[in-house]
Amino acid sequence: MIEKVEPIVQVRGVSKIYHVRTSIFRKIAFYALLNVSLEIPQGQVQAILGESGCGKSTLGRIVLDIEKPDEGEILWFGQRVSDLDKKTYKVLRPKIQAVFQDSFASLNPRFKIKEILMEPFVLNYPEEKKRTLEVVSDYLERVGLSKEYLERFPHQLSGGQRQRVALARALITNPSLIVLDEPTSALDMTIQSQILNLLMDLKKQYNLSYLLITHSLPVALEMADKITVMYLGRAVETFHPRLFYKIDHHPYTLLLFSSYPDPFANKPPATLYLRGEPASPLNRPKGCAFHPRCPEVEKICQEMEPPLKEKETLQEIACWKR
Amino acid sequence: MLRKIIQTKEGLFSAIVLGILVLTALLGPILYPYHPYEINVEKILQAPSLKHPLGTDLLGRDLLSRMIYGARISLQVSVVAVGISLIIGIFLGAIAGYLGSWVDQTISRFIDIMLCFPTIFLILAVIAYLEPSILTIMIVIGLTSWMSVARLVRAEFLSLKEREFVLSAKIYGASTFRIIFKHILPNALPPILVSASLGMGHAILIESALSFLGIGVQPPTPSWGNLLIEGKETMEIAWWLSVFPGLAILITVLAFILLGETLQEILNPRKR
Repeated sequence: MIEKVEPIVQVRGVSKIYHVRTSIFRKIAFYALLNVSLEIPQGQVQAILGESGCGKSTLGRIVLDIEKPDEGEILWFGQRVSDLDKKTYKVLRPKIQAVFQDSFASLNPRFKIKEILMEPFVLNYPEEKKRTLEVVSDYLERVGLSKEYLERFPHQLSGGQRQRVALARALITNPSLIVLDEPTSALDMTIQSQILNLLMDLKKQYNLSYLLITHSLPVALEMADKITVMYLGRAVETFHPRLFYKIDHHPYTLLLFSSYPDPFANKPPATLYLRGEPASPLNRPKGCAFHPRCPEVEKICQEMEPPLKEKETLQEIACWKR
Repeated sequence: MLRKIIQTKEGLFSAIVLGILVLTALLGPILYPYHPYEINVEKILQAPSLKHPLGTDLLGRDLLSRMIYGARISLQVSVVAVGISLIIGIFLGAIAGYLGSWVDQTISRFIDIMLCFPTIFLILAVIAYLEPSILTIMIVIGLTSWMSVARLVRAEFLSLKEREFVLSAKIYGASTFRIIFKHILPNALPPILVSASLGMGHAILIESALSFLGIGVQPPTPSWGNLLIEGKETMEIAWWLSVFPGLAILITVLAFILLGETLQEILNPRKR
């Protein structure tokens, strides 16, 4: 008998509303996330791609249960997070970990690396307390840092090293999913690829899943098993990176693609798609939110919002023209 | 940490001054040459001499002895007052900053209300209902000076609770108690220590001012403020009676302020 394997995380129709006070008398509500759904099976990398302010980090925080969704629900291992009793929550909580963009802010500046790594282990495996130091130095070595870093403070490490420590801290609770919120955006190119390679190695080794939040299309194409492109809080396209060049895309995905300069091309990049500023979620355009920037805009785009529907195999798209 | 403090000029100065002050306050009875209450009508208003290094007052009491005793009073008042203001300030500031929403609104408005009263008048109003004594002075100064600490702690908590290391601690299952006391508070400590140090100087000043107005420490108990007001009467014929207590207040407050600044420098973890 084959047991149905539950995805590690399911996001079902999640919306998040923020309120901004523009003056004492006016309070504007806006959707940071609007009806987003996705699921992350064991061992898969789901990438969220989009510009700043599109709600991708909010989605990560909701998956981590740092913030609560206003609509929709989050499921961890097939169970609604809002329904979990305290005991189950305590068991499942450490299974979903995170690595953030700002490596300095993500390590307590008053703790030594040793203490940073010891706390999550002792809290989650109190019965193995005696082995703590041994486990901690083991994990440090697995992320490529030697034991001598145990006694250092975070400010004595480089950005790449701190990111490795953050990764070791995430691994030490033995997680199933790690939310990677722009894990390499603050690093040098060479360090970036080192960290990305390390992430892929660790994924294989521990059968991890990642929710990779990034604004970099190349990183998403390299790492992900599935990419969701977001624009102003909505998923506008999901596709499989291996099919990237074979299928037609949402105009916004094309905009992202065309904005990457090709260092080996002998002509300047096409500027066809480069126009307009990202609209503010505070006054979301009517109809398709992308229409003010879209080169293929038609009347219907300005009036009605296109639904996200399946188009090709492994592709969903929200566009009237596709 | 002490080594770091005395490596700077300001730190060395404040360490020496405060060290001497604490020692004299502790060793008081052993150190003073005469009993601070001992009246000697034959030695009224003597200028500083070898027998009476800082001179004598209108009743022939030895000023040095009275100032040593006064150091004890002044230090005691400032330590307890700052202690009270720290306890209230850290507690209210921490819950306001960490919990946010209506709790924060309520506490912040309460702080605003408290800050509307000029401190000295607030204290005067309270003292009017209570018997002036060292204990009431300490408590009243503490109860009227916690607002700046609370504001500081609230602001620190507001920014620190959103920092990724706090989120990480939440994610790996640290309890709220642990997050507040192990992760946020130690990182909020430097500005608190600085403000505590400044607060000590401030408390000494307020105590002196209250004693000067006659509602603080009651004579014959000598506090520095008390000595100053006694000296005022005879300023033209016995300068030492107002100059030495005044200098003591000045130097001590200065030492606390400089200590605060030195702490601010060295408690920044990036500079260690």
